[in-house]
Amino acid sequence: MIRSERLKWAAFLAPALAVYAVFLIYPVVQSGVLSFSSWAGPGRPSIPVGLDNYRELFGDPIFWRALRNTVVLLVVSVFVQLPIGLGLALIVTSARRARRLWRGVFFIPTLMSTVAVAILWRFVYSPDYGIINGFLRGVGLEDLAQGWLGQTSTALFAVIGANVWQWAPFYMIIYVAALVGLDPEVYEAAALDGADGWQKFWHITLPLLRPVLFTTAILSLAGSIKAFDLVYIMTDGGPSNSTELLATYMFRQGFTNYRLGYASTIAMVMFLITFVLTVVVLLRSNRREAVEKARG
Amino acid sequence: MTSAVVDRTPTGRQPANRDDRPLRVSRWPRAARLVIASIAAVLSLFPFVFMLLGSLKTRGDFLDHPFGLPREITLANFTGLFSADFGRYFLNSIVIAAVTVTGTVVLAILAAYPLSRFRTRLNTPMMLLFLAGIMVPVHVTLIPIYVLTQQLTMYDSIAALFGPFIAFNLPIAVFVLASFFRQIPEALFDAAKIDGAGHWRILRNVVVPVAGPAISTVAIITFIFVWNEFVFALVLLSSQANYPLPLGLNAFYGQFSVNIPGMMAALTLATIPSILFYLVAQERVVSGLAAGALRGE
Repeated sequence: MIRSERLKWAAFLAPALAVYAVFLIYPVVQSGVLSFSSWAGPGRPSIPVGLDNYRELFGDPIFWRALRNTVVLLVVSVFVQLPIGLGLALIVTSARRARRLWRGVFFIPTLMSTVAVAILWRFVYSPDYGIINGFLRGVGLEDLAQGWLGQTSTALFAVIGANVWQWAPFYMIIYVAALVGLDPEVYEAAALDGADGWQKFWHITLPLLRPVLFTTAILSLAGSIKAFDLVYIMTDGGPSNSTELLATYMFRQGFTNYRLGYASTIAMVMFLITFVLTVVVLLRSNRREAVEKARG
Repeated sequence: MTSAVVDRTPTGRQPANRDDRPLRVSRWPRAARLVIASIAAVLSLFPFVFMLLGSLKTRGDFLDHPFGLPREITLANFTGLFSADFGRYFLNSIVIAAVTVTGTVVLAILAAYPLSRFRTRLNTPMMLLFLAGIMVPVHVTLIPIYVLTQQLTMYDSIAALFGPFIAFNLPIAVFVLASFFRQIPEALFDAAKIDGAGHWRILRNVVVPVAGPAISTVAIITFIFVWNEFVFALVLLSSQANYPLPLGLNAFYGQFSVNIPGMMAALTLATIPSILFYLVAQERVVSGLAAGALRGE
């Protein structure tokens, strides 16, 4: 490319790149730098502390609690939420009529503001006016009615339930788009061979969807590591840290306790986990494809 | 490739039980499927319906029958909102959405053009740099952006949200637009090139006029993200007069915990714009959301 062309290339990219660099790239780097310091905010001195924050973090029981809860959320997201999303997508694509209506109905939770979802689900779980307890009392199971968000034994799964409700339809939309793009001839061939619905799903649909399954897995694990709004509003990490996630703990350390250095350390751990998991899933999906290509 | 796949109305696969199939598969799966689909629909909708019905009830009615239909429909909950600060929150959200959607679309068009129409080896690393942004958790940027906003003396102003919102929406926007620009037929460019048009004129007179679908896709997904965004607003704003809707709703929730129907009306109004956008442009929304996930495959 001649030099004047290269200049034009750069000129077109410059505005977007500038905003991107200032508000995304620089902050990530700066978080890394801050994670090696102790800082109580603008106007205060920032003290370099080397690896102290990381050392403290690995001995911090609440951090491990938050990490464990985040892993639970992640596992449920990948192994429960994605299958539900796929199930909804199969319902939509196999409907004979009104596919758009079904898709729209299922999609409403994702369209709602997370704040609205969080507040609504507090009503769902509310001990007195809650929909769930109302239902249990209605069918004669009063004994099971309880304060779902107020006790450590149920709070985490109650919050995760709301999260699955909100985001499963997002993955449904992706799977519907992928299913609609599959070649109908493959299914016709399988039908001629006498394959039943389950066999077709297992031996044709799933293998064909594999690339999409990997990408949604990546999106879903990235989503669970940054999950915040819902938990912040529903429980704020409580009761007694039973719903604490990495993101809520980072927020508490940074913006309640003004430990900006320590909070940056938690943020860097979030970043590294996302990075490593993404690379692992990408490598796995690439290797599988390579193996299959080699097999022909 | 993606938009072409996604835009097609669902026609793809045949239902499993076709009438010319041999015995075995009886009629029941169809009924069973309808039952499963209906249960899924009820589970998807019940909080939403609870919200809609609640917003139309009087407070006494709600306390007596939280789950039933309203005994008499009242709109007082909605009119009451605008004597509270709700109108202000709504307005703030509209201003924020207008600026950031416009900003994202303009910057992404400018960036997607060279990435799709210039031939240089630098395009691949540049595209990867943008795509990597999709994976960055917002929290990793929160503290530096908070500090930066203070240094720029923009703390507690709506304008503080513009930069981060645009930056976080650019990756998908650039990706969607660049893949669309790549599919524009060469023939459209040849005529302009013969006329000796420069890049700027080609972009304005050839690319943008045919890229309407991709541009509206980008605008809609950016809108939905911006309209619902919570954490940046929480960190960068402090006075209620500057709150966008999600923060306003959260504040409402603290103050109005006794007035549940009022709360439900607020949630309903906050949800309506996203749903309207979806109803008006569902194929655009769907292709936009799917674009990020189906890339390249």
